[in-house]
Amino acid sequence: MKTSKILIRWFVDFDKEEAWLNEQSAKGWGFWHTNGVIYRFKACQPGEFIYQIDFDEKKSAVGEDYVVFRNSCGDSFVHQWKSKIYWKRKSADGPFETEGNTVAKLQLTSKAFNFHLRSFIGLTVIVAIAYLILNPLGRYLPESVFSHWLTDFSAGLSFGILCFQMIVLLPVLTRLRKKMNSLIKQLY
Amino acid sequence: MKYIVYLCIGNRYNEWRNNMGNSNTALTEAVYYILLALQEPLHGYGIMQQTSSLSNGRLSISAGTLYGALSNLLEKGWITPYGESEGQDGRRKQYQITDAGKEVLKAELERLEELVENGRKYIK
Repeated sequence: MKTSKILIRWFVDFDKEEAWLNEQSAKGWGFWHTNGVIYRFKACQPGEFIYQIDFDEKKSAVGEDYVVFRNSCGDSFVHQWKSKIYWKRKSADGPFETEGNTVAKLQLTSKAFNFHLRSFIGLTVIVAIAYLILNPLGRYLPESVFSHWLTDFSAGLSFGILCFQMIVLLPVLTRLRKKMNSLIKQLY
Repeated sequence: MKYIVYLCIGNRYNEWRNNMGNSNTALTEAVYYILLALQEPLHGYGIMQQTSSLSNGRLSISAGTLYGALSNLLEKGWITPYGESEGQDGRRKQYQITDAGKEVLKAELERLEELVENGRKYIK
């Protein structure tokens, strides 16, 4: 019998990703590794674990490391990809959180928002470098295959990234912001 | 840099959180129970168990939420790290409520009592 499997998926919405991981766990496949696209699973008892996706907090007044802190509280660390952290716990120990804890959801959404915002800013910096440094450099250099390549490459790169930002990242940021707004409304 | 972007796009959670600190809004349930639990020094897992038992298992706070809440409370000065983290617990830190935190708890209790009293009086 197969004891491991690999699935290829790409998620923008971490809520859907979490639901998908839990679905796989219910089918007897325990998630253990990902690189953002390829998801690796090991066989487990159907429904043995529940999963939660969370985002790392860099600066905090709490002197303890976030992962160490959560591990000491009974959640097991599964995997970290960029600042996205995957947690699991035995279903028998109960859910991660009381259903309908709005503040907790709000906090998690805010962390997701910051996560996507960071990639947005990072990509903008790359576009700026490509457009303001590489492109003029390609024009300034003496005519050669390399200078042509540099101009084309930088133009293509910045155009591609801008498209990605417009089509994928901006809608995600807007959706997360709307979600935060509706959660804040629920609080009052 | 981050804050310039916040101004343009705006992270509503941060705005909401910052406003909470300045005005006398109600404490959230989780914060209220964490402060109640920390009247004696506890580490993270202890706080989770204590809040759960205080509320008869109704309120379970995830470690992720607790971490954020502790960092908020430490920034506001309502709780403080307790003692040196050594001994069997290794690196686990303990926390305890401060006088400022106790004041907040008392004020919240008064507010809740007023709510209950008015509820008893006027709900038919």
